[in-house]
Amino acid sequence: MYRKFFSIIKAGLVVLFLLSFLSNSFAATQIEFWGGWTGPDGDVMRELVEKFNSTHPDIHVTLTTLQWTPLYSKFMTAFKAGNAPALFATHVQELAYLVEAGVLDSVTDYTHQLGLKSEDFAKRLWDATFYKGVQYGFPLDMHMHGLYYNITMFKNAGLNPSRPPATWDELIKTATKLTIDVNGKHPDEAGFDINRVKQWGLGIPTNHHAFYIWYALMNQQGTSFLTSDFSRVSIDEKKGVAAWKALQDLIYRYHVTPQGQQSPTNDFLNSQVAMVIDGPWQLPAMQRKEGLKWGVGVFPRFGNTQAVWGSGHILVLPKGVSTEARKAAVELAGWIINNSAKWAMSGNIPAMLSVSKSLNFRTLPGRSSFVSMLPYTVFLPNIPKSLQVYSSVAPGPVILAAQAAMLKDEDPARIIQDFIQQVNSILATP
Amino acid sequence: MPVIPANLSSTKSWRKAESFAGWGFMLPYLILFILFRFGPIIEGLFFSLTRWNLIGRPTFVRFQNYTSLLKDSFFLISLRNSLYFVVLVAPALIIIGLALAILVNNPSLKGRRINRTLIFAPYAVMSTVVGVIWNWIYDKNFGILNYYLGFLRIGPIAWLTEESIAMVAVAITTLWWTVGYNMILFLAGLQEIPTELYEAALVDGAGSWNTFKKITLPLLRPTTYIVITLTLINTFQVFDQIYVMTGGGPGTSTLTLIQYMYFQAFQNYNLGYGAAIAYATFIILLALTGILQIFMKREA
Repeated sequence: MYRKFFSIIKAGLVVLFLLSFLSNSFAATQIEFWGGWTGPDGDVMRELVEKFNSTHPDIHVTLTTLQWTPLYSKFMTAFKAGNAPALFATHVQELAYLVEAGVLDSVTDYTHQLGLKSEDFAKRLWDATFYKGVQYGFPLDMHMHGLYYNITMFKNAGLNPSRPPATWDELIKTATKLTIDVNGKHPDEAGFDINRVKQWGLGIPTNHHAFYIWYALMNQQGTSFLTSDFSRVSIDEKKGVAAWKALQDLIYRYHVTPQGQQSPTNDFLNSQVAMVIDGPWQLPAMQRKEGLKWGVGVFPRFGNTQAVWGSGHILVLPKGVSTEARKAAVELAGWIINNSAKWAMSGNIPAMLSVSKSLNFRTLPGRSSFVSMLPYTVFLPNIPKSLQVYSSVAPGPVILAAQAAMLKDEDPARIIQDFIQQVNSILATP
Repeated sequence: MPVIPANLSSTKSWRKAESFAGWGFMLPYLILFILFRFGPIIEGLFFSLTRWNLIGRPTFVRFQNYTSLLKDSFFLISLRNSLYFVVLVAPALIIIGLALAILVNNPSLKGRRINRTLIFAPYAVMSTVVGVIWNWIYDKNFGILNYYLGFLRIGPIAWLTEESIAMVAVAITTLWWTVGYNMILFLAGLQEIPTELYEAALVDGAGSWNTFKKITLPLLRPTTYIVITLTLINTFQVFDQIYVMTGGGPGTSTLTLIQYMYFQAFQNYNLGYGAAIAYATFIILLALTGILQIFMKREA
């Protein structure tokens, strides 16, 4: 009798075991999506992915966020091991590196499939998704430098808070009025004590972003730093020196920016600095800071034309993923881009024109100045050696130049000489 | 424990059983060690003879990486900076560690238990957290250190943004962070010294300096040797604090060997060259500890 009982149990277990395989084949397609958004923007992307998962029961997306530099290390090692994510986010200036490393598939077929057309997107970003004539990325957003300013400090100094400085001269004049020492004196007054300043007028980054500002000032003078084929460095020395000097003078001549500043945006958030040059990724932090009344102006004009450094996120498709994973990744990319209005909450400016031009978007705090700069945002040259040349860790040439200028008040001609020599030697090695 | 009769414990089968048990206890760690430590060390030597960007396949270039190192000004700068850092911080770590241990070992001093904990506590904090905290303390314009120095009409000092000072600033942070570890090691060594020797010295009328020179130091020799060697190895290979606090800057003033290796291997993806830097560091460190050994043996 027991034998019969046990044989029924055994048969039941076998049936259950076989049934489990059945349910597996109907399970959702699992895909990985990696991006470097580690601040409040990461939270926005997480919400987007959750919404996608709940509205697409046949796909399950796992989002991984890590700081950009270790993210690339992780990506390259994972790719080598055959475990690349189905969807990856990168910046426009890193596209050449990834394509030349042979890790990306082109997206031309998929853009047709998703109905994405060039006229629907900010031109510069759409063009930046192409490398050597082939499109490798889906355009997501752009970001660039802007001028954050403290409205309360403006009012206290008798300045009009709806008119932030728009030219470099105005910037210096405004910052001078906003730099106050413990005795209430400004830098252009006798008796100004530079060692006991209680409020500084302007905060400027001293890391690779200082180089990005220099790059903007060069473009405002109508020039850049590489030959048109990106093979060698070519710098108009007069303009290069003028651009570095403009930054150095803020610290060492006009005394409106403190020397040796490590985190200018933190100083701004703590109301110790009246203005700061930074990007829209800081918008969530600005909004969350209690008691801070702030506004955003455009990046000031130094040269003959308007130009500002910027970059953009694009979504790319790593090689070597399965057909179902690729299908799911393309669907995810299209969905995110079509939900750009929600991504706009991260502070980044969506590349989709219908969103960035919409009233809803333009009335979000701080956005309008950034949007107005879309037409003249310049990207860093997209070169295969971008990771080495633009490295933000010593002894990369960009960080060495920026720190020599901002921290040491090095002679700009010398900075340019060293920069040319270092970058050319990187570009020359195979 | 039961006494095993001599004629039993010396039998072949018993010794075989013991050695089998010994291997059994060692094997788990040994396997992990070979797979994740020793194996990659050997692989690293192979990679240092290649050029490799991770995605492609490594190309064998023999000793080219090493000859390039000798001509690489950044490598020579990083070597000089590493040696400078050792000179700055190692003697202080050793001498202050010993001094603190002696103080904390003194039974007639009150509060030595709480001080022992307070001095060691920083060591329990992660290196990255230490770097972030000291970044805030060292901020030139709004940091707390310059704030207090301001009352003494000193400064403001550009701790981490002035080339001549940055390495000193990192050294001070490192001292604060790890002196407790040396103190504990010395403390263990001090407590091994029999107190009868001190009592005998007291009876003989020896002063405290003589007692220190003739009893404490000689009997502390094994511990001192360990502390000096460990301190040398750790300071020569410093990375964490530099990465978080200065990233090798300002300029190249805090660029050390491992920081440069990180730049070449994980920023530029020159993995072969990075491996060569790592091996060069290893060889130089081996030479330094060798010199140290000879020096300390000659002292005996």
